Amino acid sequence: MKKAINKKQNMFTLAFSALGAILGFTLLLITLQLFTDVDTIFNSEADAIDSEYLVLKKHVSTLSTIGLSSNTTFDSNEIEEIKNQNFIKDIAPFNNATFEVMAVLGMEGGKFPTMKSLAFFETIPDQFIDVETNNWGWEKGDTKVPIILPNTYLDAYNFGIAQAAGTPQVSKGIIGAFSIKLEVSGNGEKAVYQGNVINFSDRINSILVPKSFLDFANMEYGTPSKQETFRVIVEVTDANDPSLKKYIEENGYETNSEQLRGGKVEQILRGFLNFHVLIGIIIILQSAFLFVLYSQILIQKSKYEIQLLLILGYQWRTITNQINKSFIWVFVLVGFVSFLCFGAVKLWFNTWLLEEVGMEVTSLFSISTMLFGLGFLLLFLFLTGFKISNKVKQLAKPNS
Amino acid sequence: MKVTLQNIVPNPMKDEAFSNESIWGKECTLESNHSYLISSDSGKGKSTLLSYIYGLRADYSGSISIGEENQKNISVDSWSKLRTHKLSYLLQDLRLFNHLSVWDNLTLKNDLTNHKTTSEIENMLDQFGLLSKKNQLAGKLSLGQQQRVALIRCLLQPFEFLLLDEPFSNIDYTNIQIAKRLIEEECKANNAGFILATLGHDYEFKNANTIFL
Repeated sequence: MKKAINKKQNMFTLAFSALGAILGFTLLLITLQLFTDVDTIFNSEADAIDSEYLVLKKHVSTLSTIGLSSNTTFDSNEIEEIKNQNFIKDIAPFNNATFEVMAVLGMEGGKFPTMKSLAFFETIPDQFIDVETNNWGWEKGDTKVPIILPNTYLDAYNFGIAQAAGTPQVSKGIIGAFSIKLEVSGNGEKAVYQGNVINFSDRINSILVPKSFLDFANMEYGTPSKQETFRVIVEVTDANDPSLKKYIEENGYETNSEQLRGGKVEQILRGFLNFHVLIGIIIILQSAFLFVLYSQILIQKSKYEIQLLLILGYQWRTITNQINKSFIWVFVLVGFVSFLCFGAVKLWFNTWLLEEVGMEVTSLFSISTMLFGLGFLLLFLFLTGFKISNKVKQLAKPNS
Repeated sequence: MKVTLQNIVPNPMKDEAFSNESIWGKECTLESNHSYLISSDSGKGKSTLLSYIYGLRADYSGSISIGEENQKNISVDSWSKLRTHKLSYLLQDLRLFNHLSVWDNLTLKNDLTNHKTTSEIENMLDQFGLLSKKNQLAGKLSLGQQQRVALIRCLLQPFEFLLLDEPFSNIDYTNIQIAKRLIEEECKANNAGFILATLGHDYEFKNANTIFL
């Protein structure tokens, strides 16, 4: 029976349908994979810490400098409004000191210069701090105050001051050996505390002290009512979220994060990829049509043989199965070659990324791409099989 | 098995006038314990009638019942069963697979029915003098040889009615006698009848009723 039907396989038509399908399928796989890759690249940091943090502030203009416009603070309504945005997970204001602080840095008898500078304190809730906060606490009466410095301070010292002054660089580890004297004054009072650097933060560009200390010192040396919020820290799920960027722009906020710029690039890239996926889908649909058309042509060409088998008493199902069987290898071939082509292109692309862009994409392909590809192949198979069995059944009915 | 025709008029012939003895538009019952010759000039619908009975066409008015079933209600699957167990048909255009050998053509049918043994089939070929052509492509045979192969093929199944559409049109006298003998033997073995379409020649079948179209 196989012999009876299969002689009319038109290799030319079949080869072209298969080529079309391979092309469309490869393109679709590549597009899907690029989609996954872009996702991985842009979300790699987010994956590590789940959330991302941004510090928002208002633009400081010349007007605000000369005191004509003082709208650089966040009031509670604004904070509430930001909090209600669906891309904001959490928000906290920076509480600042309303008293004067003088920090004196030096090492007794050492070769390090003594530095004295006007300083400031701020505090944020612990959950927003990105480093270990062991010994992060202060109680009334303690003379030692734990502080967290921005990493940029250490860099500024190591790569700026130390170089210029010819003094040795310091590591994070020995910073504890420095004594930082904190001279706090205000309301006619004055006190000296011993600052104890417990860590350096990448996220927060401010000198942090425990809230209990700030609250106490504000009462003692400052004016709590003068406390205003100039900066807020927000926790977001995706700093690349275009709607987040839009919101920040529309409200005239500024942020320290460069990620938002990445967001723009990602947005454009995703736009391109969406377009690419669209083209991939169009091509794959076209090759699906091609296959269905091919199966029609095959049946049309084998009409005599199929009808004859039906006349001899063969069941339409048996005939359909036979034709479908001869089709399956075409699908297997299309799938196999497409995956090979896709693998080759992807390997080349990964190498190119690594060599030219310096970006390492470790995975050749992802499970989702494979599953989706396989799904499409099965859909093709189903469609063709359905079409064939319909056509054969139609031939089996008496002409009326 | 009974085949009953009631007021059948093929759609392509609906505007034609039929002679008094024509069964078109009348009632007629064919029973498988009898054999029939359908006799008419060409173009009167002999092949059409056979293709109605075999379920290849249904373009008629009136009603045909095959066994107990209305011809138009028989399912595609039931037709397959009828064509392997109850009805066998030698078409006028023979319908061999030209790209297959004589033997493949025959086994294609016999594989479906398992009706004859290899030696029985070879014996039939031998009677027609075709055993040496066993492995030749059917398309390479002469029309007369093809007709004999097609005849053998339609005997490779059990049947109650054997439908034969001008089965001897390309065969010489000697082979017609062999064919007649084979047909009668098989009909007897199956306790079946044949319906043979002919252009008027009765081929000296003794016990066949003649139907006119």
